[in-house]
Amino acid sequence: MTTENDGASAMTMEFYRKALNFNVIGRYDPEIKQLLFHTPHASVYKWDFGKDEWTKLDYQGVLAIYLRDVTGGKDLPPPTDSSEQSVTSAVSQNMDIPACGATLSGRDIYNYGLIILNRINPDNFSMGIVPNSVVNKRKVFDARENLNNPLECMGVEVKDELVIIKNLKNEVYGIWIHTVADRQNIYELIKYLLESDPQTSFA
Amino acid sequence: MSLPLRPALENVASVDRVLEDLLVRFIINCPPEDLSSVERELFHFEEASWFYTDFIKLMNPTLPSLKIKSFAQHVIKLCPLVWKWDIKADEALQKFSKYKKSIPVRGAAIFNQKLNKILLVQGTESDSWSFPRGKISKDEDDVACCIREVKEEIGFDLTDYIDEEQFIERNIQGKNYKIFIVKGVPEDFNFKPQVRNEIDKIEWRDFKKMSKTMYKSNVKYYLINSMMRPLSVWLRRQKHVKNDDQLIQYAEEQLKLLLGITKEENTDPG
Repeated sequence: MTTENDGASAMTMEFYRKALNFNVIGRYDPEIKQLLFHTPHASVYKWDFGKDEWTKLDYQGVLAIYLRDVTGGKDLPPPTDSSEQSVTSAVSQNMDIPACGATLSGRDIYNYGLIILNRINPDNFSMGIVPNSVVNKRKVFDARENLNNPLECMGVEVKDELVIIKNLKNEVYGIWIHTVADRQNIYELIKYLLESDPQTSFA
Repeated sequence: MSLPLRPALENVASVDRVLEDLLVRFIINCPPEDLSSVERELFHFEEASWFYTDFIKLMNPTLPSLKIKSFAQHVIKLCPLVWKWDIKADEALQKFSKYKKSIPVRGAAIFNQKLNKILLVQGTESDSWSFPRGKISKDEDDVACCIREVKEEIGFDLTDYIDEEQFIERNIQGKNYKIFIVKGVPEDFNFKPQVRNEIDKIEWRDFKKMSKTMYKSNVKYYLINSMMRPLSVWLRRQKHVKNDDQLIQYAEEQLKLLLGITKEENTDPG
């Protein structure tokens, strides 16, 4: 009896957790369509090409990968003005803490998103993910857009406990994941997303 | 930031919205082992409640102040599923503070009138710089402890400066630190420790400069390094408030000029 109840409440909790994760991420990125992956704890490093070493960034927490709705053909919103709106990103500039890198702009073609809901401060880590086929097509068929806002094919690998991702702007991030099995899982998923054609839903 | 994200934690109107965010950040997505005992779960509640006071409350001054107890009650009311224990949350919190059972430390982050410098002390037995602070005595409240310790260490009475709502709290290696944030202390005051052989040096430090060099220089810091973020957020907030006050004052003067009210006059009692 008890175990049955426990099982039922664990399932309710799981359902609630997914719904709440979706809602809260949606407040940061309204284009979220479906959650694809979630792991309880991750922290972020950025590769410093000048010094040839990893720098730890101030992002630590739940990591999620999600499908985005890009059918509207809209532009991405401009980044929030750091001097007025986001208190903490201005703080990080003042404090010489390595920032998170280039912000994507222009037409919203980013089929997938990766987000880390930060436990260190209110700023979350985000990364747009686009299949390689889309990036390559864009170079040929949308040359002007690509000239204004050049994107590179992304890459992913697992090495020394880190999932290493080269993003669309050629920046390299290393993501350390607490749950060991998820290091391989997130790698497989991102690799799949990059190598397959863009999808509009996952069963 | 690769994808531009909306600032979802700014200008929020309801506590519930904030608590949902904190539930997602700190509690429901924890690895299962972190929610396997009352104590371990409470550590996450505590972390979330600090995040609330350190950042969200500062960014949204109209939100209520929530101490850990009322914070936990709010969270459990919003999401009863997170509390699967038979014990009540406030009872558990009492046990929790016993479980940490070390003597809490209280102190003050003291800023000058211009809000560009912070007062730090260096102890005689350690070469690291930190806030004036000390251990709480039996039956002493947090504010009284802070005032007493600061007076002992730098000879300045904070009674008229301290605001019991403005503080940062941290647990470091099981010890609880609560540092009140104080502003407007005169720079030219002759600070002198009242107790000998405890404090070696007392100095004003340029806050911005210190934050830039904190991780590069050989100067050692204690506590303050783990609180730089909330302190910077607090400072920014203060500057906003100050600018607003100045604007109001200016508007008042202009309006008076316009209306021809030049002198302070008492209304004629008739």
